[in-house]
Amino acid sequence: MSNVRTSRKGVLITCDVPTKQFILHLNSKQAQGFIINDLDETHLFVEASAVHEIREQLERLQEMNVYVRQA
Amino acid sequence: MALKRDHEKRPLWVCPDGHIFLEAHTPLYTQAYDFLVAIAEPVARPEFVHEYRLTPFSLYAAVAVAIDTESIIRVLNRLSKVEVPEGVNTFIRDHTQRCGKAKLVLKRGRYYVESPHPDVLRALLKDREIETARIKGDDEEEGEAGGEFIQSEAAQEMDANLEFKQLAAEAEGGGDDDDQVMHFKVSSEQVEAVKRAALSMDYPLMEEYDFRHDVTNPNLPMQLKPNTKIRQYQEKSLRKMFGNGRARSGIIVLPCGAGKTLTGVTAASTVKKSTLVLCTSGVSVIQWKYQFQLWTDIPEKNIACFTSDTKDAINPDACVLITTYSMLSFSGRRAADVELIINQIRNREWGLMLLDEVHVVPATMFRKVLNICNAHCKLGLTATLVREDDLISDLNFLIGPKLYEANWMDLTAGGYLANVQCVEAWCPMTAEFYREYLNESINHRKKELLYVTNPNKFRTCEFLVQYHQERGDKIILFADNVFALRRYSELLGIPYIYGGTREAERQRILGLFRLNTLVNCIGLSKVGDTSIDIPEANVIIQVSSHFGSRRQEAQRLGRILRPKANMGEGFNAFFYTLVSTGTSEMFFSAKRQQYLVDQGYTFKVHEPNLRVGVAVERESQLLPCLVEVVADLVEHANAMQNSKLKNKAAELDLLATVLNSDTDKADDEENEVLERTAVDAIDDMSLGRAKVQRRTGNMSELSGAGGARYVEFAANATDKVIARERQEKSKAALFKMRYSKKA
Repeated sequence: MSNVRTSRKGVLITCDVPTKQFILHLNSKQAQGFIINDLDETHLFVEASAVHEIREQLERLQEMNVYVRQA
Repeated sequence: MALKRDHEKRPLWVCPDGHIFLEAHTPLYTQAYDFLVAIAEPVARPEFVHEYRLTPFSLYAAVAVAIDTESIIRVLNRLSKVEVPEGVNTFIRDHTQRCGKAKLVLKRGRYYVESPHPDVLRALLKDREIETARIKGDDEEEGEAGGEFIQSEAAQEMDANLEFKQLAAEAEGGGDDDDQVMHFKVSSEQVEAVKRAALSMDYPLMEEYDFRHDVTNPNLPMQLKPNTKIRQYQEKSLRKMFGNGRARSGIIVLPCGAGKTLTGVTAASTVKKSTLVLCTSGVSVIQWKYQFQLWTDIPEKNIACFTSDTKDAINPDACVLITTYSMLSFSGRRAADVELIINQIRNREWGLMLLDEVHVVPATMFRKVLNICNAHCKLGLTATLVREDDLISDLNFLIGPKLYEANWMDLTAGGYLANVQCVEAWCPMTAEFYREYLNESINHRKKELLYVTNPNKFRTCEFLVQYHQERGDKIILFADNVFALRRYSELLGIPYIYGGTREAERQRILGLFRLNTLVNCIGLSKVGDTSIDIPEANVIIQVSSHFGSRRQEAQRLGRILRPKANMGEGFNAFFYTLVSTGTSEMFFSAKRQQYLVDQGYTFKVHEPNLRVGVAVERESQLLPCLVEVVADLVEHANAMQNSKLKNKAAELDLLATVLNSDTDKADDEENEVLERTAVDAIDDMSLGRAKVQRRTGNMSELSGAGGARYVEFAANATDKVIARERQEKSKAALFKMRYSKKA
């Protein structure tokens, strides 16, 4: 009995240092955190349901910081 | 759009929306380029294909230099690969219909409204204000008896300015019976009203000043020195201004370092009447005076400076007066001696008004200046005719049309400007800094501080400084934010100049930078953007900037755009912009580079290997690497052994300083004038500029109670540098003890 490990299903995210900080920031803004485990500077283990949201927010961040020239 | 049959020989495309594209490698390029610059606004001029746009202002400028409607259309047709669309023809006709048909000429002290078409004059006279302003009769020129208007010879335009007519040679007809013009006189008091009335009727009057026949105003005893060499593009711009023997008002756009001052000086010595020169700061006043004395033989008594520090006497005859915009546009109460000089300016007739850096002059301030002095001819000089708030259009009507704009690429190819390599280095934020940046949602200044003091950015900057110092280059570090400037300069150990630096100190630092081989790098804040003349610098590292100002970016490039000694192939000047990725700095940076990219500079972007790739569409192109080391800039920077921010602890230290800094105070440091303390007064007296001041205080303050220090030893960065270099050289044995003790 003592050898049963509980396991959870999730998604491993590999990214660069600033992006990971951004995801942490998203996490803190949410009422219910989606991060299961913070592995190291460039890896995170999160809930599968949050991946879509994360991608969307990342896109929005990138678009915000890009200047498109007005013709 | 169908191509014409011999379209290979023609250099232009004309599009229905008024955009014109010019191929730069066709045989007719030079003439077509001269023509296009005169009639259209350049949008982008990279190496192979130029883009221009027809706007109402550019057409107005064309007519101002005597290029008439039908010639424009004829020549465009001749040069265009496709049939010129009918919409473009209509556009040209509509906008040149009324401009340029009538001129306001000042001749022999009297104002005349002149035009080759009598019906235009009649239409103008229908307006009541103009009708009342007209003076009839008792004019010695009224030769033709009983004529409605006075007839005279038209002023002939120089042949060189009309070269483009040869381009339309095959369609040359006649119709050149413009030799006779009509004019009527108007009273000088109501000139302003006449101009306004004509403008409201859509007949803007072009102003010309017939200075050669002006006998009422005394002449300036000023000639250009015989060894003064005028470059070809300077001559071209002056030709546009003096084309028909009179002086036209307008704006000339030349890049920084291309000789704008000399152009202004030459214009003044052509007109040879009293000249008023307006500059942005006290430093530029001194520079202009120096340039006047360098290039001409004007006697000392005919040139005067008027700033808050210097008030020279104005010569009662003719003189050149150099002052600043702020001196003349100040609307509060003035000191008595200042008021006296303002009145002198008001009562004199000025032949020419030179406006330096005319893009900083908003219309409201300029109107105040115009209230004080009435100049017959106004010439605006600038390197960057862009403003973020689009007030440029006002200038067109207050000063005049744009007479000439130089092509930066051509000037570089001709060896008049340095060949600059522009690099943008993307530095990722570190984890802690980025976290704070994201958490900080209200205080924008804090956010700015965070992305400016990014440790990765700092290390990159440090690396670049070391690398270029080894090459023997002179480096300038630009930081708009004073807090950042101080941190960077102190960590790097370099002297820096900002708004609060006193004049004596500034001169000292600049002198060291110029001449001393040990001082190869200095830091500058906003004050360095204009005026400070540093020809020896060939590397600029930009660490923080003022949001999206294109003007600022172009001006900073101007700091290094002097031809360097080793003009060979390849680049000899470098412009680095360090940007923190993932922050709003990226956005602003792209906006700022726009102007430079349009002039033909390409920005090379260096980004480190990001595992999550950020695909961004940018205007800049990636050129093959010229310097291999620079390829992996940020990696090299982070691998530096002796960086000041080597470990995490130092980074966190910096972060703590940033977060605790009083952000409002950091900004005010730049803008406020330092309170003068006892120390400053002593400083001034020792420099021979004793200024008496009255101040209330305690007796105890005089003996040190108020915290005033009387002796400052190595308090500022320059002194530290000097002290350090003294230690490094070994002095005579007699003094060895002295220096070792103070170490």
